[in-house]
Amino acid sequence: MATYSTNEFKSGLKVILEGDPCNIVENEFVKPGKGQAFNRVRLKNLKTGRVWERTFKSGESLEAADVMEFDMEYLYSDGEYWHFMKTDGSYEQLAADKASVEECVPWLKETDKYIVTLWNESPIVVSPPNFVELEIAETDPGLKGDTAQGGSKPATLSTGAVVKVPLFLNVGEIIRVDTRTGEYQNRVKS
Amino acid sequence: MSTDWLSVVSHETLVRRATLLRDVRDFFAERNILEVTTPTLGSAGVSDAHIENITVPLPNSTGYLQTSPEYAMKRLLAGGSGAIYQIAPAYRGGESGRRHSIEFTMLEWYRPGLSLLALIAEVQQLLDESTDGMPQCPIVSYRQLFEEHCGVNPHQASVATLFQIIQDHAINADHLSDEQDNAVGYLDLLFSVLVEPKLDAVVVTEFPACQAALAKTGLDTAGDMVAQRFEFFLDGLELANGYDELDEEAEIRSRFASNNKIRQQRGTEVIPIDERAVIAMSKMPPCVGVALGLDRLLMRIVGARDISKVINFSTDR
Repeated sequence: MATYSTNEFKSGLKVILEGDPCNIVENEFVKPGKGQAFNRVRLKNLKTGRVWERTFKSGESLEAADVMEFDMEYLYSDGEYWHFMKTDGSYEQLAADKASVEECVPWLKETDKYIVTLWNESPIVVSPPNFVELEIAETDPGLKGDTAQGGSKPATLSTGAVVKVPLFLNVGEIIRVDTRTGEYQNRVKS
Repeated sequence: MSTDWLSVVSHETLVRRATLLRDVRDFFAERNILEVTTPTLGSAGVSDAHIENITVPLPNSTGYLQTSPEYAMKRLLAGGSGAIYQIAPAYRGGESGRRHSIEFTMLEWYRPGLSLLALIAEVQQLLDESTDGMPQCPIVSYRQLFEEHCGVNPHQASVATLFQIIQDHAINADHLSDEQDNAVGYLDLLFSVLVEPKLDAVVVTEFPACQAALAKTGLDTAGDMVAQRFEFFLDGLELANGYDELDEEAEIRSRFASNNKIRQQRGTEVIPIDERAVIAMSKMPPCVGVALGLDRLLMRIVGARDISKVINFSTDR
């Protein structure tokens, strides 16, 4: 079992804390004037996305987490699993369960590429790219001439995500969305 | 092609370090303070509970790399050297991070007959003369800062009160869970998390007596026992650490013994008492002394955020 001691901690290191794989976001060695040294560490739980702040006595160790990230193409869902394929030429396929893919589902479009994080070779989290381009499946008819500014209306996209869009947009148009905020960015000329 | 063999220190920083060393030597020459050199490899280590000695195997014994030139310089003081200073490498095991390097350059000086306040003024003069635009650092007591940022008197607060403050600020204290004396650890944790980051250009004095190390202790104006020490802080970083030097043999022995007791409880190596140093400390003239991290001062001068940007090659490369 590989372990990392506090003096090997650095951002980007993948470790196991309370049974979950975590990414070290920030590590600071602190040595109070006359006191015991410790490391203040911010870790992101890769399963839940929550960020923890912990202190470790200098010299303590954490188990290394076998975590890897791959660019993978989304193929299809069979209702229980979501299937992805590696884009490195190996065509290797993996099935991600609901828990790992849940946050990404509103942005999943077949043949698009996603980042799949594997822990012990199983997918634990699927992340969309920062921007995705999706088609409007449903929205109120567009208002001609209202292209400048003004109000917005809800639009349901082909994946089921609901995004606020400007009034002039119509069904069938393709838009660019920021997946981090869920906000409309611009219309994509097709 | 790998450039790993190259120094990450810029040429400007190399030049600035050279100028800084020259300015420091000029500063002490003008004041008739003698530059001395003592071995970095000695036969005794320090027993400070929280400093890790780096040992070196010698043919018939264990050698210790100095964690500071303090003991050797005190032996010179006791032998009648008068005021002395030294620029020397120091080594502390496990201390590595953005603001720490296992090997670093220490400037340490001792002034027989000077008061702690006069030494604080001298540190300020050195900073003024060796840097551009160093602000005047006001003197504030540890208690005052602790009350301001944590809301309680650090010399009187109970363990439960300190723990409550830690919880109120959602600070994780896992690393202290198996400590013998939590008050000491909690004070350190609170001060380093809630106070130190906010300290810029300040001299902190009157530390809790439990952090006296080899400084004298005495009563503050409120009647609490405090350590006669000071620390200069710049940008939330401790830059210099000065003491009114303890010179009472029985008290020195008792501090060394209690350090070793903590080491024993924690399961770290017990360090044999350096008899020559103890005798020297009890025979040296009354004096004050200060150690200043030259790498950290250089960080401030060149605006480096990471100490590795001012030290040519870190220990791991």
